Amino acid sequence: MAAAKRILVAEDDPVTRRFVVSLLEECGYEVLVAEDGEHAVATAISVRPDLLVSDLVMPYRDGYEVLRAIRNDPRVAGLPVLILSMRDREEDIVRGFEQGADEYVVKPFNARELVARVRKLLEPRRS
Amino acid sequence: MRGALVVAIVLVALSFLALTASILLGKAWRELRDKRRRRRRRALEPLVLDYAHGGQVSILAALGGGVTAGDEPVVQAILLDHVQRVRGVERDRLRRAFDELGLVDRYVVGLSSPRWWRRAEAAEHLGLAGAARAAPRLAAALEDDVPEVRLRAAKALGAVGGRTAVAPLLRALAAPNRWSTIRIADVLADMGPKVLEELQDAFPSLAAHAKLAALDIIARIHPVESVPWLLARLSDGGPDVRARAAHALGVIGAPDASPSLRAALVDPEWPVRAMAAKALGRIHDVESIPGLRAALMDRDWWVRANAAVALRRLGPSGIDALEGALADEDPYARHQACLMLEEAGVLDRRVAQLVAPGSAGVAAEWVVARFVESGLTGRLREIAATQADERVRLEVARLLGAPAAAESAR
Amino acid sequence: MSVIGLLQDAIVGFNVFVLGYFLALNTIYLILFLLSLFEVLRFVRRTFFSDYRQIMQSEMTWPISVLIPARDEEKTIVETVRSLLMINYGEFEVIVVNDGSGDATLRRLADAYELRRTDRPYRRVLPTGHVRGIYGSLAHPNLHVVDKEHGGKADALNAGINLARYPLFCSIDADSVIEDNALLRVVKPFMERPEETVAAGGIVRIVNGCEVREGRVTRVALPDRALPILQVVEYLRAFLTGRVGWSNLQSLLIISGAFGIYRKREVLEIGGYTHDTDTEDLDLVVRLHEHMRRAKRRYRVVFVPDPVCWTECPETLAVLARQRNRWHRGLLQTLWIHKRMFLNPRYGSVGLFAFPYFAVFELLGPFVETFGYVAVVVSYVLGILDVPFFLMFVAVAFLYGTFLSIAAILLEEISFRRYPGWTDIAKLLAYGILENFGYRQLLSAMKVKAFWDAIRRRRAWGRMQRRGFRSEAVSASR
Repeated sequence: MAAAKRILVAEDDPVTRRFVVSLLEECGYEVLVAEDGEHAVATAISVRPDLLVSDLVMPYRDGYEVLRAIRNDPRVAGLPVLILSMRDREEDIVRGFEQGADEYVVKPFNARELVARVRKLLEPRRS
Repeated sequence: MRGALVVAIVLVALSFLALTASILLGKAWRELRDKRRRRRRRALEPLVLDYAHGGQVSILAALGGGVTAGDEPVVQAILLDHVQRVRGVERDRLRRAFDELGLVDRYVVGLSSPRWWRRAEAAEHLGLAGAARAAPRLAAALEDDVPEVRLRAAKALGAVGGRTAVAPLLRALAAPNRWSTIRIADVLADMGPKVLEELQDAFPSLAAHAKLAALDIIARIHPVESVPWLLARLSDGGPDVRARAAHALGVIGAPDASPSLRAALVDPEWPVRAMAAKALGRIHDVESIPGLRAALMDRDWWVRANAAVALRRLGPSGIDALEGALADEDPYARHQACLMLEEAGVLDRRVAQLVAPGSAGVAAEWVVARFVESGLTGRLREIAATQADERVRLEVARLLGAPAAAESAR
Repeated sequence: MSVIGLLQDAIVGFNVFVLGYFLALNTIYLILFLLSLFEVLRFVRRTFFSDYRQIMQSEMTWPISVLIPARDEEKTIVETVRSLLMINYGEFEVIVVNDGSGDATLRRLADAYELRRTDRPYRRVLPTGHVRGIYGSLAHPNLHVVDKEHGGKADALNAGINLARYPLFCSIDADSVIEDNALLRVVKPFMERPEETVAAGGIVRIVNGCEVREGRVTRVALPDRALPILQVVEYLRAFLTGRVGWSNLQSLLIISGAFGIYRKREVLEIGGYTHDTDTEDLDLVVRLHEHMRRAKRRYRVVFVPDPVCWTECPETLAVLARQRNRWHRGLLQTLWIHKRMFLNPRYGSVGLFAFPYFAVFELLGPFVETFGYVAVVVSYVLGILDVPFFLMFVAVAFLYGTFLSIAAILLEEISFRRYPGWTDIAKLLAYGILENFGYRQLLSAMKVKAFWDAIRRRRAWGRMQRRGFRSEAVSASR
């Protein structure tokens, strides 16, 4: 039985955080939290989760900076990242992908959709 | 006299002490209450979330049969917090919970409260709770005396009212307060495509600033179906209407708008021309290039700037057009082209190509020479001082006609 | 009648006058307090749900140019700019004006934000000192830096205005710590009445004692030492009960230089900031009032009763004295330059309420107070005054004032509650009482000195040099 996949959730809003954590735990994942960008980068590097779900607007380092830091660090450069953000403008979404995000979900989000995208990033694709 | 004075002072002091004491007591009470609520929230929130994720059939079942009076504000807060942050099935379940717990009925009653902030709060909560059956009551609240209540009712109506909400909201759009126009416009824009038909129908009779708000709403919904209607607006008598219509067409990015937008590039009013130029930058039509090139010479700065941005967005042929504009007779066009090429990083690229063999080097030299002629050499000088490649530095210095002095003012 | 008798009558007369003065002053404070109470409670109620997310995301919100004049800020400028770039707002630009720094301010910025020289048009609408260059950032398209020769804070702000391209601009001190939602909160009055509002400010709090990390306040706490706590109480009183009240009367004269939002068009109409006084922020607002009233245009200068900004305050008496000296000199200079507004109905409530208030209670007031205390005590000791009068004096001069200090603290407690701890409240209450027994009198004495300084320096007006743009608090600690 494979070990549960670990997801790091970086989100400064406590309500959203609790919701996402409970949602992902319900699906059987092990969930860690970071409350700001700096904490997120540090935890990602030390814990090496299987997926990072990150907000864009956070204290200390915003989501783009977190992405940049992760993509520039060889230890975690391959970490899949799903951005979960209120910013829904074309420029923001494009920028998110350009900075290296693998998925972008807009808030308010559909829980089923979020879970489906998380699964896609975590489960290997069958060829 | 002295006695009376002393008594008076003592009385005032005492009443003041009483006031202070009561406020401090209030603080203590509030703190205890908040502590208790935090504790209860930690206990109840997982249960509510479990219900939301589908683990339980009803909220009452999830909460163990019922909610005590003390827990009710906590559960309400949990529901209100989460229902705003999700969509889809989970949100529907959370909304059902409001009804099941009798909160919707409570809010409806709150709409008739004598205190305005209670009415406003009730309206807001009804919107969050998605209480469709309260729509008529909310529509009535749109006529409330207090603007704050009206605005929250509008927002709630937008969330629950479906198409019946559109008409009263459109009426409210005409309010003179810009802030309320913004908020109602937001509500309408969030409602999505269903408002379009009525919006377009009501358009001719809207007040001036409401018309502009309506066009912005359409831009935010950016429906392709509205393109013909928007194209018709390009012939409207009001320049602001024409300008916003052009903007909306740009946001939608439909190619069939291109011919009309090109025509708008020579509109007598500058906002229209500026928006037309901006819109053409988003519709990648190569036929726009000549028109945009001409717009670089426009006498208005915004038009020129937007035209330059648009040319840049049109890809290599646009960049070519900009470089061609470097030799234009019109000084404005040259200036604008220089700025945009600088911003787009083209100048840096060309400078690096100065030492390339063949036609690339020749073209690069031509471009750099045009910059020197135009007098916009700030960036060039910076590059002259910081370029890694020695040969390139020398070339730039030569073209600048000055010794390669390091102008590092830092 | 003997000379002694005449003298005694004169002294008694003076004492009565002093009593009347304090009665009047504190009653005015009381009126302002009641106005503020009403306004603050109404405000807190109206914003129990944050509209701010809506303002932020709406495309119809006006964009803002944030201007930061900076000189010799190498230690903190990168952090300050970073926290500003992350501020909660839709569309905005950040313009740092490097006013001839002698240290590495510009280099630090250039390294941190990949600054490149840009030929972006800089229209010299307002005359300023020589501008050496304008820089843009590759990584942040909405960040620009103006590098210029030293010219003072007013000059730097004018340079920033020249480059700014949005209809609103916000002026910030380099050492202000801005709250996340500050722009959203203070721009709201502009959104509510866009044609009328020309300037808006918010409540400034004291940051000494708070934990600040990367440009954000992470923990609110009171300072340890007495002098800063006294200033905390003073600010609470001045902002919560003073400025809100004045704003209500449409006579607000001061928007703090630490944070204020202005409409560019009107500021350009009055010629931007000037060097005529030591307090360019006060001068700007007074000139705005004058201009708008003369032009008979509907306008308003608003004070948002919401905490938006944290600033450092002096920790030692010497630095405090310097700061208050400058403030008071600036006030006197401004009042003098605009003396035509005094009691002039053409200038509405500003001329009829604010100016006389400042003239009487800020100009003459310190003299009356300082000499009044001495006179009353001496009179009592010499037996000229009787006990009831002395008691009344004590009540009016001290207790009335204490009442108002405590009231301000209580108002804070029922509205914003930024100081949640019990020890904090206890400290505040204690110092609220203490404030009236020594601190206020000290400030009065400083103002008297400032008056003499202003008179003596009248010949030598010109550019007032200040070390950096920080409150003197920080320049002294370097």
